[in-house]
Amino acid sequence: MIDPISRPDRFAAGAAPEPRTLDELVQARIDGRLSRRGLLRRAVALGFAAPVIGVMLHAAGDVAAAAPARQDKQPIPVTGPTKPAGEAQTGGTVTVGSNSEPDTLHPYITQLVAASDVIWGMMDGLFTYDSEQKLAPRLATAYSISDDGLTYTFTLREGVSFHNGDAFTGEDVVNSWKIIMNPDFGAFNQNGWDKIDDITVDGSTVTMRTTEVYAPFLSYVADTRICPSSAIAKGVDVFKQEFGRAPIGTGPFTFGEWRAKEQITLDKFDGYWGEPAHLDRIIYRIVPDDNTLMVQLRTGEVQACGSGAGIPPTRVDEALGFDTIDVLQHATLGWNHIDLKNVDFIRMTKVRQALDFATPSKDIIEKLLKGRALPSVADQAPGSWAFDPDIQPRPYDLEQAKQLLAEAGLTPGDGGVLQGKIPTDDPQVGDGEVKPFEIELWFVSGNTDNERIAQVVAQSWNSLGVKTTVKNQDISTIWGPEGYQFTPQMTGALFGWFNGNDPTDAYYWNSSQIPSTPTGSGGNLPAYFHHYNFQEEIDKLTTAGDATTDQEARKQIYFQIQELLHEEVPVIFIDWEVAFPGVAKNIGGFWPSAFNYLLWNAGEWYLT
Amino acid sequence: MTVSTASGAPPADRAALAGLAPDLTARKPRGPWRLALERLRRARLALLGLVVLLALCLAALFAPVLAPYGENEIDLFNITALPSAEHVLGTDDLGRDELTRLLYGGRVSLMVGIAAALLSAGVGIGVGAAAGYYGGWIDAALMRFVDVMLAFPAIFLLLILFSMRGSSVGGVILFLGLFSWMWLARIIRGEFLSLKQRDFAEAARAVGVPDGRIILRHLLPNVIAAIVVSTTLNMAYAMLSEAALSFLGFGVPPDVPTWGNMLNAARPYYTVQPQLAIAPGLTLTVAVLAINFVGDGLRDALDPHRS
Amino acid sequence: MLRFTIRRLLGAIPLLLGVSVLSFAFMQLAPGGPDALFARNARMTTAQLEQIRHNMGLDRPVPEQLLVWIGNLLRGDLGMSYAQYRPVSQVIGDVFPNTVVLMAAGLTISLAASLGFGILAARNPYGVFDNVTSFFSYFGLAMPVFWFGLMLQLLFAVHLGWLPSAGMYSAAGGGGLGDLLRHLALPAFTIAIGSIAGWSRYVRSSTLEQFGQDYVRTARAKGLAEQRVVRGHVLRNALIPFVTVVAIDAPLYLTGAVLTETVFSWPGMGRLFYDSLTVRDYPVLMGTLMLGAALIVAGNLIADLVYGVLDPRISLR
Repeated sequence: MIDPISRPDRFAAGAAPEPRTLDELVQARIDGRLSRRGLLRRAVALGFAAPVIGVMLHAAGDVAAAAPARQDKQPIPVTGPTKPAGEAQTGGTVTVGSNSEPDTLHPYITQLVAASDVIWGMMDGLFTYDSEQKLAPRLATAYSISDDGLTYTFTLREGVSFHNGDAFTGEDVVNSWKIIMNPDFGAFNQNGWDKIDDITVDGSTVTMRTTEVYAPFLSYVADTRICPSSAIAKGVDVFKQEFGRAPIGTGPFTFGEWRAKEQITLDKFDGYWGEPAHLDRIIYRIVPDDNTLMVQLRTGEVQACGSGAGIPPTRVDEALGFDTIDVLQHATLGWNHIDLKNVDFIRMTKVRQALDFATPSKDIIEKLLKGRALPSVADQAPGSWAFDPDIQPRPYDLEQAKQLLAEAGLTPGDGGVLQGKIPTDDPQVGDGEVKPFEIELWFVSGNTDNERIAQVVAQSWNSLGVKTTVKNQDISTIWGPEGYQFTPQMTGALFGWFNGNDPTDAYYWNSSQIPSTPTGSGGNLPAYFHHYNFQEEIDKLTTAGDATTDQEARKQIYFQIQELLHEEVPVIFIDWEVAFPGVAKNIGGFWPSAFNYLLWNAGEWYLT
Repeated sequence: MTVSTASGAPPADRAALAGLAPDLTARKPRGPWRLALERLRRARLALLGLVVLLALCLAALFAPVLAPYGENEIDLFNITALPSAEHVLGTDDLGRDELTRLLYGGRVSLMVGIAAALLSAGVGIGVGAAAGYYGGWIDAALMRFVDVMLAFPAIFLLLILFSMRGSSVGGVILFLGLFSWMWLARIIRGEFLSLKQRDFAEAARAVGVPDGRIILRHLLPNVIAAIVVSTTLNMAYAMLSEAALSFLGFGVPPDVPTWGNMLNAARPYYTVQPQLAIAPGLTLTVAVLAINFVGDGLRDALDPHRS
Repeated sequence: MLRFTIRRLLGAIPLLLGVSVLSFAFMQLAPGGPDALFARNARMTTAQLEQIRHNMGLDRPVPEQLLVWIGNLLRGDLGMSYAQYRPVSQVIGDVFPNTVVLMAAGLTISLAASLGFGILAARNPYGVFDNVTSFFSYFGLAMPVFWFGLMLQLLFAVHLGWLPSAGMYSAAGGGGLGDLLRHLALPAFTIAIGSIAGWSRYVRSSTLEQFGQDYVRTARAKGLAEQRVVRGHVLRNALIPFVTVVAIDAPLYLTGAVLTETVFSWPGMGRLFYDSLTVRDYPVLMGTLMLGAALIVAGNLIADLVYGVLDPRISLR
């Protein structure tokens, strides 16, 4: 933006300096001090190459138009499927843009959201989560749970056939379970399925007997895509490779073609059990670069994006200016936080609270993320039934932070860096050796938002006398056995977790999820060296959460957990990500959400 | 430059080095006036290059004095601001002053270039001299090693190394240096093979002058032109490579300002804030251009075939 | 000739073996491992993790892994991609042709341009044309290729909208030759710019050298038309060294492709490599390295052979 105040000042200061640099040239052109030809002549004299001059001319001409001016328009919150004016048509093609390419289209081994986005358009589960976080019937029409909470009975839909012509039966469910649990196959997610003891099929009734009461069971098992027995029967390797490149499901679209690093084509399936798809074809286009995505949304080459690859929050203002698309908005299940390793001073509750007071989350959300994220105080997503709306985030308050640190026994030492005695037996009492408060703040290389957030947080913590160094590594190293979480230094790490549809959070906090060795599994990494001072309490709560099936009772448990987390600050909660899907103004039925994947209802999409 | 940033030795590097002993244009018979004119023009370009290079070095050196803001002064209220009186080149994605970053960036970019080029010259001289002077199995082994190193697609390897081991300014210097010495080694070896047969070297050996002294005092001065030219070219190569690696996100750590890192940071915004991408890219181009001019000038000055 | 070819081919084998052993050693430097990502994924148990490591062969000792890898390599088996769960040869085979298209287009542009500019400049050395081309050559050699690409993209795709900014074909209704050429224009020119600059200077100086030779003066003295002098004598002799330079440089386009493909989202080897880096897909990374090395070695070999064929003074033993 051209600053209206500074401009007259500059003229008042007398003759503007002779433009020497590129940007001075451009500025001079904008100010009207240079003619187009004058700009050209000087640019050539300064030795700029031809393409650069071209860019300059355009920069000078377009600079006001291209500036991310404050838009009056705001993103439209998603409340239901899009309903454009005009008659719904049958047929047509929609191109969906995504910044990442699926690793494989195999529902049991993919690790990427992008893959699930595509798979959800081709394959069904017994149920699927709709965009209001409710299980909607697909291959099953109904389910019931026995009184003891151990047996699940599903009634299967009749007359369903796979894309290859096979009829869908209960045997497909049994075989899917068997292959998921086959160790040679190496399914990525066995959750829920590993609780099944036995499955019996009786006509259109499938009965699953489980070994323990496990509240998240349905959220995993009912939402798993079911594969045809004939494909599974081809053996572990063939099933993994062939199916992953060309999956066969029961959904409204069949797999068409996959051109590596370019696009995946899905075609309408005429034998679909439900109402046939309105569209003839969906093209899932891989657009790895955000600039390109923006250009293609503007030109209409890409007509929809969302889920793992929506419009980047920092570019929403720009996208709101496009007349080709509507920018939508919905909450997500992803939370960004600083994971504080539970060692030395960080074991003290007051120190963790102080760091929270000294983290300008509000500024980060409003300035850095341009208001395109939600504040976060604990681990349940706003919009989810388990979310406690009453907890307020700590304000940014350096004075309180200082006081808490002083109460924890930390005083300024060499070069203003705080120092004090580290706790030994009692985590709240500093009685060990004297150490300076030096902390490493890690983020995953390539995550530009987190890189910026880390630098802002580091600046604030440093101002308190907590010596903070920003560090980064690629994702595999950071999570590997030599990652930050297994070094003895005090560390914070900035990254995001994604919750599942079920609020279960034992994975993050329960002591059973502390990795036993640096190569072990589990999500409770900060407690690797020392259990939390509230470990017993959180263990009890998270275990109870998993074993309680009544939703209202569970909700109370998760409210308690959220209060505890806010009080103890095992991690500093930064923000809940907000997703910004974009969709062409003539696409109806488009209904993205945090609880499913982009193409979950692609059969209902239509063009007007 | 497509190929040079990517490969162990850029084509121009090789073309220039190949042209070293007999410069192809130099053999063309032309009038003395023409020759003088040409050399004057080249000298003028070299001088211009030198002046620009010195200016860039001084600007980098005195960055703390010259820069209007602090190196990492974050201003969240002024993110990606367009050029204004307060911020001549605007601000980046953290509200840091772009001109300030450009000045500080020169420090690291130029240092990477100089240090990596010196390292590569050191290794190249060592390997080339050892192979050429001692010959035999030492020569054979070293030259096979050179072949293997030359067969590596260097940028692939550097990307793997930095992405996995993380990176630091020192690491970038080290590995860029270690992947760019091979052509110099080959040239020095070739020259040494013939030089050591010459009378003065034979004579020195006959009277018992130690090998090290013969190499340093008698043989190396003969290849000084190749070393100087190769080093200036490698400096340009290292600076471009650093920028390329940093641009891909695997070079110098992102909080360290370098021209490559600035380009990387500008990438998400370059369509709306072109100056964030143009300024560092242009500065880098000018710096490399200056180095190449100086290199050409030095070649002319040192070339024994053109007296 | 045949013996020479065979000898050089055999010589390439230990070279590639050396490259593969060194590459493998570099891979071992990596902390963590390809399985590190699994370990930090929610819903993965320790037992499952062990099983995955076993399936990947990561529980075997490193020397054994190396031997297995080299053994497979000799049989032409590059292993299975960790990220895509299919053979590396398939993964690379999917995108390699796209990179070949880009490289071929870039080579064509830069050969045509460098021959044209180089010879024309040599016709009238230190003339206006020569000075202008040499000025731009200096620029071409000094510009970071990705930056040049970004500038082209900014100007022609974003601001002017004349050409597509990314990809190889349009999403819907694409696929024709015209569509391809439109997408190809910017990346091909970007990848070519460095060698246009370097090669045209090379062509210029080697052509100049020929003009100075006695036989040219003789031919001119005989009254041969300038065209015939150029075509019949000068070009042939000037081109011999040029061909070798091209053969040596051309494989390096593969590495230039990493940057160009990243800027223009071209679906080729460079993108594959970059994506594989971020997910630590070792087998694909190793496969790409080996393919790159093989191309470089092949380029050198071709340079040797062409030199022998074109220049009768060199006898091949």
